[in-house]
Amino acid sequence: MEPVRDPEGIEIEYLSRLESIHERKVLEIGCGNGRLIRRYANFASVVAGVDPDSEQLAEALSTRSESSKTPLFFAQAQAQDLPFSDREFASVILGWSL
Amino acid sequence: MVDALLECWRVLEPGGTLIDLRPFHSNPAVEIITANEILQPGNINDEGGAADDEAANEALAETVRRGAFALEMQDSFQFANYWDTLQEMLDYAAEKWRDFSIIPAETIEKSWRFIADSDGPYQMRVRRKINMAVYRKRPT
Repeated sequence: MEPVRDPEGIEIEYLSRLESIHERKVLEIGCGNGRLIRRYANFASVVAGVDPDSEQLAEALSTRSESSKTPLFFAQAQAQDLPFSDREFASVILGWSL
Repeated sequence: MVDALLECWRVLEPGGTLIDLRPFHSNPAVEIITANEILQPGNINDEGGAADDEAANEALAETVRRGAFALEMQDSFQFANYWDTLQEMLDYAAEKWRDFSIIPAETIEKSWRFIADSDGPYQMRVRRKINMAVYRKRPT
């Protein structure tokens, strides 16, 4: 049984203070099932999430909020070999993954 | 790990930011929240994660030494997990925390005793310290 995580919203409160994710293109490495992305996606202009685990990514896709206005992309990849061009993102988030 | 951080550097625009958000293994307390009080039967032993913390910190320090990133800010906050029962918490810990955390038998035993004594609704809570660090991409 999964716990209820951070119902106080402290994590997103701290992340939202970072100007570098507001209206910017953000990449999250180790996004897992998209738990963190769902919390900050509406601040960013575009969010891409990568994770090596295809099952987690499938969950991230299936729980993607229909109401999110921000384009979200997910890719199966290892952190040391990212499928993106040079200088593509304003911010990279290591979400509990380093 | 350094290779992965340098790959982050590659995909970041000039002056972009790397945000490291990570739990710090610091033996958090197990808490039982009842209608009247918050009980602490003991702590989780998560010293098994200390080596991972150190390796990650060292990898980041290495990228700073190489001139790829500069540390811009650091902060920390508490991230709480709640369960409706002790058994749910133990099941979760057995599945998800087994590589780095141990809930000592004494803490489990005391938890069951406190719950029996409180004789009412309760929730279990574990608050982990999360470190947040922001690094700025430097031109190299």
